Amino acid sequence: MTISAQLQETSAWQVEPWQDLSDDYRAAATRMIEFHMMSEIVGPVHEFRWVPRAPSLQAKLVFAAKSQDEVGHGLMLMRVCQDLTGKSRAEYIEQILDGPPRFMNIFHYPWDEWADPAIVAWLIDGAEIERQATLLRSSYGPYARAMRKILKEEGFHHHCGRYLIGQMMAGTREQRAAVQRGVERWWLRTLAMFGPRDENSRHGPKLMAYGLKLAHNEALRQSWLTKFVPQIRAMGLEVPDDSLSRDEETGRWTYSEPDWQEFSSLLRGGSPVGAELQRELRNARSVNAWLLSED
Amino acid sequence: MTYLHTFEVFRQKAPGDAHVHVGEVEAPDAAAAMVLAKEHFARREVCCSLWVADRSHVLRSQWDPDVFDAGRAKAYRRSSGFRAPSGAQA
Amino acid sequence: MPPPGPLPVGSAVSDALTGLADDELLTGHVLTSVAGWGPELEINIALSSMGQDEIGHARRLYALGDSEGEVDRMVYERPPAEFRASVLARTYPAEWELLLARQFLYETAGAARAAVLAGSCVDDLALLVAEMEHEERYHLDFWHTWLRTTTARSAGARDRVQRALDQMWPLATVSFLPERPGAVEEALGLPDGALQRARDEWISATHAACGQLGLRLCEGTPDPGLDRLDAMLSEMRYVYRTAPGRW
Repeated sequence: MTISAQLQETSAWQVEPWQDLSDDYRAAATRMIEFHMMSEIVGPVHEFRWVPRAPSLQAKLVFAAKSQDEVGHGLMLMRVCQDLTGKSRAEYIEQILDGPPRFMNIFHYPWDEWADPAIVAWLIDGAEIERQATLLRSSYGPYARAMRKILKEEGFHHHCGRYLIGQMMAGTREQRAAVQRGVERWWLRTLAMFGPRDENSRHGPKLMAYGLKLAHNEALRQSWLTKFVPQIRAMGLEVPDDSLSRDEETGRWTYSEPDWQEFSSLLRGGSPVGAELQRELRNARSVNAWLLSED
Repeated sequence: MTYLHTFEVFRQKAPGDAHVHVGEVEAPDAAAAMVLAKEHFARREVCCSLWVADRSHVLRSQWDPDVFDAGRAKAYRRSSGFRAPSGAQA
Repeated sequence: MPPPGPLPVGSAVSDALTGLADDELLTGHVLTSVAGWGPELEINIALSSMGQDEIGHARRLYALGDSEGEVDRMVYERPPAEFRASVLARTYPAEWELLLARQFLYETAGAARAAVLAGSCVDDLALLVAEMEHEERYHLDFWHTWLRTTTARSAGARDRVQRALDQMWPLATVSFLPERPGAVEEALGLPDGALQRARDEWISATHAACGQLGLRLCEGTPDPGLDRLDAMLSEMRYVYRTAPGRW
């Protein structure tokens, strides 16, 4: 089913945090939105490793603006979570710094070269645009409202990514090779990011029933392939997937299967990279906590 | 007693527009909230004025939709709800 | 008094402009970099905005003294010894109280200098200063507000800020004037001694502002250990050097 058809099926009801929501709904919304929130707060740890190193003043401005937006997304989602659960900012900061690592797979991998943040902005922020467009109709009012600003900014982030990748592709052979290697690194991770197909998705069906999730993972992945395979090729890159093909009649893509065990293990058990993100956040917090922490 | 207060932020797009609620920032006081609100809510967005108000000063209505709808159901409040002659009688 | 018009090629002025541009560049680098690590999410967003403003100013100031195409080379290829950044601008604090002290002094000094430079007979510079003022106005409000809010937090907080000012004030006082203020004043059509007078007024005003918050400004020796120019340039050039001139 196409994404637009799926959206039409969903009933248009929305709730606010002060209404009488069932415990089950609250728990489902909390789990989903806290995951999104934590992703937007650990993500900048990767980004801010690279902001100081942007290789031109224009790139510095563009990438600083993009990274700043992510901090803003973290803030907006933090506020949504705080009002949903009643936990304070301080409690949430503690949960992020010291609690279980619950964030997107893409942040569990090292971002060791300039090509990494550039590719993430291009392909992954690009992927988020369509997913987040569906969330504008989230049944949870505050989340739907936050998505309006977040979505606009994701569009900008994708554009940033294209700009930074474009700079490299117009450069030396080594710069172009670095981008190609990056696409190879990120290909399966990006496919996995959309999550498993429905039949293997633990929380998907409940989230769909509650109107918290409005598109199926596979539909979003298919849509991304349709949009980005041509874009990757137009950039002068090879798509690193021998199994990639498209059925001419149905338009459906076949692709190399991501490692779902690895995906599951990252989301449930974390990673050394993930642990390092939390450690860096703890270090930063310890320096300045005196300013705004509760007495 | 928490040191951070939640401040509701309202943004006016252009002179003559209403200030519209756009979200919240947390800060120790209103002046701090204001300088934070500007960059979070108006670094790109068209804006000529911002208000910040401590959440504790905002009262939320407790009435169900039915109570609000009862007001709207009154036909005598709408021109379309009752007739009036078009001109003076001869 | 030189005639009004485009910028004269005179080394006192171009040195001064390069110095201002370098200061804005380093300050922009500090703010956009520490924006990942500040005390709270809202503050981090504001730090990044202000840093982006400063980088924008640096770009325009470099361009005033140099041609468009050379600006990135000024940043990414110039040897460290050729940088004319002030000792205050070379600091790179991670701690909130040090960043606060640095920025409060940097911005207030910048505003005092800008008030003089706005009267320059060189149109391009006067225009640039006037445009920069729109952004600097917000910066001043931000740092004034947070100096007040931070100091009011607790006696311990005020002590931290005091110690931070003790470190930064000696750097700030020697960072105000360009190398040859007289030559700069002459070339820009400014009254003799205008910059020195601005410095004196800034010193008084800063004493008064700090005094209101229970803070003192103490004479001291600038600490050379706070100079982080090399580290900053090393960060900036980390990716650039993999393909110089190809970005």
